[in-house]
Amino acid sequence: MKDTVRSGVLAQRRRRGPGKLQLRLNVNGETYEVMVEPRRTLLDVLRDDLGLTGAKKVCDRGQCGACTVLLQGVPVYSCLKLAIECEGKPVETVEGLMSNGRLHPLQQAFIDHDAFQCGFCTPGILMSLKALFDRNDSPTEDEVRQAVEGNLCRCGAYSKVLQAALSVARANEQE
Amino acid sequence: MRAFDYVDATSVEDATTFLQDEADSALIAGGTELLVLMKNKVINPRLLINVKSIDGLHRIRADGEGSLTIGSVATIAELGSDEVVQRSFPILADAIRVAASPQLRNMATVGGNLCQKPRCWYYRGSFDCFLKGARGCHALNGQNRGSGIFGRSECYAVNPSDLAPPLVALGASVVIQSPQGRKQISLADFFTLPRGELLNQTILGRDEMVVEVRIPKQPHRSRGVFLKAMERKTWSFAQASVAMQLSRSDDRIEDVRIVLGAIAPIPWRATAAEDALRARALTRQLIEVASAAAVEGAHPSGDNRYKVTLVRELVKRGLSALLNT
Amino acid sequence: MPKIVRTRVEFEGEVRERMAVVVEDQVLPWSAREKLDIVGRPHPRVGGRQIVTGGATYTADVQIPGMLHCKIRRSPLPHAEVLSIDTAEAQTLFGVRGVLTHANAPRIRWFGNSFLFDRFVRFEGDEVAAVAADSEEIAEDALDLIHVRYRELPFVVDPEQAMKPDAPRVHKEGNVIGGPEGDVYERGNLEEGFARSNHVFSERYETQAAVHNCLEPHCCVAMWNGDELVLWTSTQHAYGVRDGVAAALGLPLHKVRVICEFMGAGFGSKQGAGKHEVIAALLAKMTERPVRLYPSRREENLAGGVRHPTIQYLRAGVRRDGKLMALHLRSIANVGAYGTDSSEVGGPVRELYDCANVRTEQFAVYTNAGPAAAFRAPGYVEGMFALESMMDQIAYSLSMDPLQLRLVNYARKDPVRGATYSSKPLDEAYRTGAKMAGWNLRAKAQQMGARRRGLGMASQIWGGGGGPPAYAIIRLNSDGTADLVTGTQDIGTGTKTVLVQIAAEELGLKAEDIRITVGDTLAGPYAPVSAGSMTVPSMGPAVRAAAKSAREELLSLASALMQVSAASLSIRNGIITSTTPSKTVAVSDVTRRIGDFMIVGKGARGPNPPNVKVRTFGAQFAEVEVDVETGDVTVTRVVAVHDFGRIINPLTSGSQIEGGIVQGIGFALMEERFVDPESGTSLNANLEAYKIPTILDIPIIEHALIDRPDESCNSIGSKGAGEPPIIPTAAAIANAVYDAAGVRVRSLPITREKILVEIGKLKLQPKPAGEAPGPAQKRRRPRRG
Repeated sequence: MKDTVRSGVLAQRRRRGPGKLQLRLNVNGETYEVMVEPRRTLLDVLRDDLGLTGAKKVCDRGQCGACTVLLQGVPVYSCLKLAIECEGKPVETVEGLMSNGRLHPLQQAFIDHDAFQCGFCTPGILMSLKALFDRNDSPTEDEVRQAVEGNLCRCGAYSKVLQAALSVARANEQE
Repeated sequence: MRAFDYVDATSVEDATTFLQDEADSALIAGGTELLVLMKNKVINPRLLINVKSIDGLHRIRADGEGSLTIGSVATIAELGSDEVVQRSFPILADAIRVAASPQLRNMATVGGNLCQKPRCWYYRGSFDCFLKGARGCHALNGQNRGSGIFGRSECYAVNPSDLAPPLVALGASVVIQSPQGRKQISLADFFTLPRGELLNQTILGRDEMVVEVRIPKQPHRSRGVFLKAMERKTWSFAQASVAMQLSRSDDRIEDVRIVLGAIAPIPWRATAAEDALRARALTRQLIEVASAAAVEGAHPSGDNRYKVTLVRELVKRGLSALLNT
Repeated sequence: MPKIVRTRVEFEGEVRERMAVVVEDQVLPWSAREKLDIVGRPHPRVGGRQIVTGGATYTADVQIPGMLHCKIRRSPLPHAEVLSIDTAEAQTLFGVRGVLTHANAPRIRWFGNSFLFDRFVRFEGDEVAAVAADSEEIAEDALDLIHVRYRELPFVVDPEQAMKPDAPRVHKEGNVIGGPEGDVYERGNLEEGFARSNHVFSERYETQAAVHNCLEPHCCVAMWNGDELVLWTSTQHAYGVRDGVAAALGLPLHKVRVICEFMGAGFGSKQGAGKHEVIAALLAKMTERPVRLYPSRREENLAGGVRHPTIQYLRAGVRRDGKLMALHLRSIANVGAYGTDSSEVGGPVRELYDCANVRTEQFAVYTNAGPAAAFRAPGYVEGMFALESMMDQIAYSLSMDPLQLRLVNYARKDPVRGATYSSKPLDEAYRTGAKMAGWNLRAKAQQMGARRRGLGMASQIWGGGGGPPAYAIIRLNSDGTADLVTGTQDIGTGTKTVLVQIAAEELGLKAEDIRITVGDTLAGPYAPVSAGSMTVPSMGPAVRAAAKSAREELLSLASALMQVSAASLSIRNGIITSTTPSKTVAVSDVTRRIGDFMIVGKGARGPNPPNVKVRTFGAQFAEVEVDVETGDVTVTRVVAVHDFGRIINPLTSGSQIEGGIVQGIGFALMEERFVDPESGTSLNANLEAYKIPTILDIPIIEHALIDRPDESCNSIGSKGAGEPPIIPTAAAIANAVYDAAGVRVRSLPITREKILVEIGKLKLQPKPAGEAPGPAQKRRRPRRG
């Protein structure tokens, strides 16, 4: 009984918050330190604390996909991840998609195929597709559709998103 | 979201001790359900206990004898891509394929899925309702296209889990732990109709936590089907779903479980349909009888009448798919 | 020289005659045979690179050092009087910098006789108070500490209830806008028309409140530089916001600058100044800090606007041969608490078909529901659903091919005014679409178990002619590049791209040598609202005129430098060529030699041609699969043929068509705002329960464009493409559902529930003779003409 109480007190000391605390995040290969409350989401930290505004805040409830980023390589809704949960886990955003000043093939294909209209959903869709192409560089039409089924596009650019992604898949196939 | 404290639990004991010590606390795993409820201020915990940090709690283990033990913080995506699930429990894999969206499957956990709150818009909205400790149900005479047709209690909200019907059909059980100890109960008994003091669709106590889900070995020649009807082609909670698992010997149905989803506050066993099937050979006529039996006693309340037709048809299709297998 | 003319300006189905100062267009239209280098070819989006790299700065992304965050406390009740607001506790919360309520805000008139912060709240979501704080979290915490006492008032959310004399009044003036007669149009003699009909059909149609749900909400950032306000805002009309905000705050126009560089869509819901912009400006003034206001998705769904839900009673009289003898529409549009009566639900009935006797009575009714706002082809989407469902029903009843019925009633001239059309290739759209869709082969009933396949079609008519005023300026830089500056905005449609193409074509420069600046009232001259499918036909000619003026000045200087006559000079690809004698010189050589003397071309949109009706036309064919046991509807294919005159950019116009169809599918099958009848509050103000189409809901979309310049409408020969594609989609899908399953759903969206109820009805009681044939009769398909 005594032990439990003691461990309980110790345990209580591990509680963090509710005020601001220092977090260390790894985004697009860079390390950042921020001072935020535990309630701050990864999305808000990216946008408001780090100025990485590519991921967009639309529903803020995991119902639209505009905030999609990769956490440890898999697509997640950053509006439903607390920043505090992401300490020490690599985060990738659309800002990290280019390499050596060159567009990712998906980015280029999106431009070539007009795969967006207002573009507000585009960063999220690109990240969902990036995760797909990272594990399968020549996906089928069904696989592409399934990869972006969690991203809403209100302008309705879906068929061109599909064409753009499949053009990259075909190019990869031929290599 | 209101401000809160956050702690990484080091063990299940640690997590449940926090639950016990802080009355106003909640476990966070995938966060896809909890954070939405918090953002909508349906619940406002002062402490979040992260259980993803618990060693080994995300593990999925096959024992080689045909059964599977799933750690409660395994993500739905991890479960769906598990080879044993795909091979031995295909109805679960099928349900996962049409559950939520890829991002949500990457985040949401198995335990969280089974513990999620109903999607009833009166519960989620700023209405006082039975599940929030008030009297009465707004859905009964309101906009109730999503409401249940079975298991009427003081609350008419349906259980939204896509995983629960196949897991119940597979005879799964859950392991629950509290500071008082550990217990294993069948998943079917984990769910309960909200009534009286119980403002929840599960029996999970305040300081209890789902630790594991266990799926037993299925009988030889056991086959299953999972079907789900939605408002659009994907990324929707079910309007109705059916999971069935059936085993035969000498063409007679030996064991059968038919579990309906999204039509009652709990995963609903269509026992009349099961009774109609048991010990008989599956034929077209029997399928008609069983699918009619599946909706016996349904009591729709208005806009949800279509669910009766839908459930009957889903059961019929499910059984028809098993006819020649 | 500018002069004052009367010109007809058509906007979202409404034609208004107005005085306009115009510059007579000196530019001759490009002829159909003219060989163009840049216009008419696919061109990737200007700004596309910023969009795909996350570098595009939307209003949502604007961050100013020291910026505060604003949150709005909204009414939880559909109708109430605000008795008191206690903000003391909120004010003391650490990090709260300013609180605004009716007690301390200036009394700014808003919407008729009410105020920015009114004593009465008229829908769930009406603004009650606003907080500016150091972070969004603190602002939100503060909202919970504001204590409001309300006196609940009786409310009404059903428009037909609201029309009753004893209904609760949303506004003092009464609930029916414009009085109890409604907005009446009549031609011919309706009763005579019905008397001379062999068949009379009478049906009730219903369309739902669809929420725009632009992914970027109605957000803004307000900052004061001394007594000047800078406002970043997500808008379809930068100049409109400037004027509206200046008027609300009592500022001269030159003290307000509105900026909207990248824009996360509007679909009609962001056409002018909103309360949010004025509130942000007031809080920025009060706190002396920049203020960002970013509504949540819930707020956006409650207060950001919806498509007017309608109830339509349509009566049609036809002769045995299918000729329409009389059409009578009584429509009721629910505009919510603060909507306008701008929705022309009767438009299609009045102007699509050649029918001598027509009467439309449009009612726009206030209720205590969230406000309606124009939504992509307002009125026409709804009206077309009713009219084209009715036409389909008539065709089946007369055993006629539905397409043939449309041709029998084809209007060669505008039935409303008798004016000739600048062009009307609707018959061609029908033919091309029918061929692409395999219309004549559809008689073969296709059944796969419970799955039935069907094909349906519907027509489209809409404005899209644009008009003055619209201005543009082009400046040539000393290195031969150019800056195109206008006050328009690119709301995601591709405006920037198309205008650059037009400027490049006229100037003879490469497109990449032209930079376009839009969405800044300080930089560019006046441009109209990006709505009503009028941006390209309004702005395009203005840009072309500016480019022409710059080109002429450039060539006159070049002719002096080259010592040849200006008439013999032309420019292509940045090279000036003289025919006699044969000489070339780069544009950059000329501009370099004149140094910093800047060539500035100014252009204005000329007037619309008199006595000619400019309209866009089209037809869509939808193929669906209906599961008659589960009620599942799958759209498997949509064929669309539209006429927008000359196509400037096939890439972006194709995107407009696909986008319109995707939204049309959502409207047809799944989108609907639900209001709880008991409490008058919204149930699905989110993107989980309010469904919009995903990539899996989208079929194969095939489209063809009647890419033919409309030379009489304006100097570029183009009409607008934004709204037409959504107009026929729901009607075509509804007709396809009938073709497939033999059930006619007259209320949108066509959900599983409605299909199963309709099919259940058919099973229980076969429809009486003369009515729509049920599935059993389906094999006896009428012969097609």
